[in-house]
Amino acid sequence: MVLHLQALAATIGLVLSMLLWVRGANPAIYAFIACGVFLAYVTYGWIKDTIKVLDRTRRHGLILGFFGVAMFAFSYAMVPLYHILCHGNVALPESASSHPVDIDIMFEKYRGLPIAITVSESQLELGSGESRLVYVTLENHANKALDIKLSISTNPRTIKPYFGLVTPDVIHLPAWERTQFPIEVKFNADVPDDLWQTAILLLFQDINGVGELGKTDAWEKMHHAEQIGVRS
Amino acid sequence: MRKLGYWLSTTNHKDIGSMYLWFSLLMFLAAGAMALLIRVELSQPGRILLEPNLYNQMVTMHGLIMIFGAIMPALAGFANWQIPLMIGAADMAFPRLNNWSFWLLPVGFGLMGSTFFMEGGAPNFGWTMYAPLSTTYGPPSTDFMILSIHVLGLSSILAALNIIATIINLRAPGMTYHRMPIFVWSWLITAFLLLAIMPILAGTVTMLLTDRHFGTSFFSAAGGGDPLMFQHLFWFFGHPEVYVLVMPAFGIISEIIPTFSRKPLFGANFMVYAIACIAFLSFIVWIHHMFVTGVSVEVKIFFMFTTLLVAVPTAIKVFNWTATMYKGALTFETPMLFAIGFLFLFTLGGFGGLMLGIVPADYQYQDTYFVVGHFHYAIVTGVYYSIVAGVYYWLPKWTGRMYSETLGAWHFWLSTIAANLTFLPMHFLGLAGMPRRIPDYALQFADFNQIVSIGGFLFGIAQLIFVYAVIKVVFFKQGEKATAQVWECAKGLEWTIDSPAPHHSFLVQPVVTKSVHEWD
Repeated sequence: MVLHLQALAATIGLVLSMLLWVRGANPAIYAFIACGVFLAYVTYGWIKDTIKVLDRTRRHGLILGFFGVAMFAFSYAMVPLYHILCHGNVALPESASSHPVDIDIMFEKYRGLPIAITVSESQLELGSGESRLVYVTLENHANKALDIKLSISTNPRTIKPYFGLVTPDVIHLPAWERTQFPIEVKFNADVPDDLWQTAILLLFQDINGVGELGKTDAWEKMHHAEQIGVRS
Repeated sequence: MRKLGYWLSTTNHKDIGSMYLWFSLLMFLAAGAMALLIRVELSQPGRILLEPNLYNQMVTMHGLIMIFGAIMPALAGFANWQIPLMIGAADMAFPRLNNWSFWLLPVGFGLMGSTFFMEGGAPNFGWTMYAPLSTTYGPPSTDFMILSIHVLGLSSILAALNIIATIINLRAPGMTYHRMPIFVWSWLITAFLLLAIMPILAGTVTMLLTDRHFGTSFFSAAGGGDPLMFQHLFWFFGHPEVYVLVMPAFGIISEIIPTFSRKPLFGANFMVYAIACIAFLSFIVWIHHMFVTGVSVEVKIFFMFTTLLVAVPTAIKVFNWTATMYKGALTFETPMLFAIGFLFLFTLGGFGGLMLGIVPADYQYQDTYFVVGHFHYAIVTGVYYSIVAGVYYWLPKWTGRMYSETLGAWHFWLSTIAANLTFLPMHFLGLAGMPRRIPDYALQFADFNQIVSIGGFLFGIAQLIFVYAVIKVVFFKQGEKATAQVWECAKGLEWTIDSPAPHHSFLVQPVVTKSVHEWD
């Protein structure tokens, strides 16, 4: 009877302290640990008493059963072990990042595209689920109209899926004209907890051939592009 | 109705053993039919019969059912029938638990089979269940598969616990550990292995479940987890699991070869040490399944060496079986034919394993049909052959009737020709670069695939002979009456009781005075 009451008290204490802990009452962790240790002690006492009264076969059955339960627990223990051994850090099974992330906004034009670029903000601080508009101004310094495409990359590259970047398709910019458009930067999903800083690079290129990524003059010559009209 | 009630509630180890064996046969036929559908699809390039998603479902379910539904229950059936008889026990240590262990199986496979009729179809990511295929991209039925694995795992854990408690506590007076038959030893070690690994699988699939529905990210990089960790956890279970299948097979073969060689088993103690050694090594080789996942060179070298080290105790066993036959008065009854077939073909499969264990060579073989060929040599011509050999060997003891040797010989020769026709060309296909788990392939693989498909169907037909031979004896009571001894030189307590073995095996407690390996 005493054992049952002890086990009940320990379990209720464990659940209550866990609830308080989850709700942010930091000292509750000590109560949680204390209740956990007490429950383990009570369980140990129960196992010891039970094993004592069992016959040899049942005792073996019980011990083997506990071994199975321990191996189940071991499968979970392998999670932090794996992260420590293979990545040098502990596992992060929870996904939400609670802190904001610094984002640097950078820009680049490909192969001397004759435009001037300015952005309204070069640094942002965004939390999970937040969004912000960044205004980009382009000024055409050429004597002809340009059709400009904007590509965006992130550093590290793996972070790109977390961003929801709303950008224009193709920007038509007449000669010597200026235009301004917004880019919406937001975190679509929770980001990894160890990410504190990232950068977004805005890359501008002319879709009519000049400055297309990877296709240099040497490439043009090699593929005789002018003769066969690849770029028409 | 009363009969159904009897089978639902029976606690007799022989009844439960029989149920395990019949259930296993049923599952074997179901998963075998899936294998044949796979082979129809692959008999020619292009789409023949199965839509690619259904093909993937067939591949997944074939693997899961064969391993968890056919092979493991068959071996558990042998354990139930033979262990109490061989150690002189009245029954298993926990007879009711034993009944429950069995009846969990139909429940588990009912759940698994039902996934075929669900929206999105059955699981389609292979029996290895790699994340994120089984998490982000898994069909809704994946949850049922996870539950079914929990049920089947519980069944295996309870069976293992029962077997260990039986062997430790219920041995007849004089049956010391040293005198125990190798089959019993092999099951004792296997049961410990099962008890250690099945909870790991349970934990891993629970993580899959919480990743799918409860917001955890054990295997999701987006949340700080790692999909590669699934492979580590899975193979930490998966490789010892292969030995769970193979080691009782070693035990069966170690019983059959001395009987038909009319000589005691050569180096019986070493056989036990070798099994224990293989069991230990099985825990430190799992990364050989993951050589191409980017693990460091040092880790690869360590796991390559441990993998190759498994060859040493295995070679000891093969040597001891061969030495047992050397200068023996051999006769070639069906169990012996299958045992010799096992010896040759399992060794061939083992060589394939050695090739796969070598890191630079594995880069070429990884995820090709070479792996499929190797695995099927080990499991079909290894484990399945030993199961068939065991059934032929002990069937007269179980039923009191001799099976037909003619049918047995036909079964063996057809199976052996067909198995080689099926699984040998798979190695060539793999070496030529054909990937595994694909419903279609490049034209240059067509010829070998046709041969494999023909071999597969021939193998299927050969197994019908086996089913016929068994049904003839069990249901139609055809065949000569078997004596208690059955085989001239069979040793052990099970041969001292009548054939068929009576409901209560030993009316008088047997006393053991010498080992089955000590012959006069």
